[in-house]
Amino acid sequence: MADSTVRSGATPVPSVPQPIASQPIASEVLFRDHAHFVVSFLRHMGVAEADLDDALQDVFLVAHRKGGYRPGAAAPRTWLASLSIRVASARRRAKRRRPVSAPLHEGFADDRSDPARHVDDRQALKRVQAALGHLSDNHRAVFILHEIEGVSGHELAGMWDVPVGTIYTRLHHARKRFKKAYRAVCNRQTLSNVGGR
Amino acid sequence: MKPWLDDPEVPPEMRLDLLASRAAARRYDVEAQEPRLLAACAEEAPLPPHLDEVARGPELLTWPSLYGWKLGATLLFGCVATGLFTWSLWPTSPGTSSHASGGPSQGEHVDSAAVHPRNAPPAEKGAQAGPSAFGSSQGEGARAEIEQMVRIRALLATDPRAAHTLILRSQAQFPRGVFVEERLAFLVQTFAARGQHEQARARARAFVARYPHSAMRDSVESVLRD
Repeated sequence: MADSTVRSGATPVPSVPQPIASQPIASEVLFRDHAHFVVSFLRHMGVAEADLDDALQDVFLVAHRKGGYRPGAAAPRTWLASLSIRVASARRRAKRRRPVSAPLHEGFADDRSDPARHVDDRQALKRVQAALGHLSDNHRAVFILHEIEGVSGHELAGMWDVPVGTIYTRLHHARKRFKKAYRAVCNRQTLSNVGGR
Repeated sequence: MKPWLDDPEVPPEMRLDLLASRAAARRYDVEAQEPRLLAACAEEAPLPPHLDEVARGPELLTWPSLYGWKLGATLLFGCVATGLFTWSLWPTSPGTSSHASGGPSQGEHVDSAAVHPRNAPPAEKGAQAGPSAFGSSQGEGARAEIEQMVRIRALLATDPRAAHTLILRSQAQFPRGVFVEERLAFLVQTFAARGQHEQARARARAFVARYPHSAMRDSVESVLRD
């Protein structure tokens, strides 16, 4: 099995806007180019590990049913993000009706070259996920896409069809809430570590 | 807006966590999932209901599509609340204007407590009854009530029976008028004057219980002492 993982810290957050494709893109091509992005986005949006495989399939299956990506206001990546938001929301609604007790497995690919770093990164992901859980869906999506995935404000404005200023206002509030929530998560973790000793 | 991670004010541990989180979230065996997707795409099976809704949704994730139902619910609630508020105000609106003009209407019988203090001396009532105070049709009723009170007061000393009859008629005509309290006090006096002392005492006790701070309490209690 090919190791398709991304090494932590090896890829800085890109700040250059992604060019909008001028040709339709089939879902298979979208999958190869953007599956990692979609997985990362879904994880940060709070999709459980047990649901991740299905949620990823759902996003690209919907993309396929829509005839793949067609050039428009949104770039392929942000278009997939908008589908992912809806899929995550639909799965959450469905899960409320049929709750899953515990994750069956975790879909993290092994990083045998640096297992210690792998563990640290997963701890970081858990902290960030916990802090993101305090944000509303829209603030969460804007924050993830801009701060974690490096999507530019203009791309996000195209995705939501709103002025860039609106995106930055949302981002400003999302940053404030995330910072506050992150501190609370770290404090809780410190307290539990102290209590566990 | 600059990426937050470039901001020196962002705590270093948070910056590191965000970078590490991004790396961890991307660790996924994509190739293992590709055949499954290709098979599902080739199968062209109907989408499950929750996905069908997503597939039929708008192409762009617009704010209205996110907030649509909330906005609709808010507007609906606002319309209903405004309608109820207007409806609740409408019947009292003319009454409010009558308050401003100084008198209640005969047809509506505005609560006397809202229009006039219960224990106010009669002189104030007379002052309110001037032509400038009751210019409208609502003022006509109050004026008629005042005229009846003047007649009742005059008859009390000369013809208690006629006064009694007029009090009952006035009470029936203005059950929530301005002078309910005065009429009930006069009624006690008419019972006493006609020799119906039991009735007078019962009415007096009821009056004192209902209007403990009335200016007419002394005259009513004199019936109880007799």
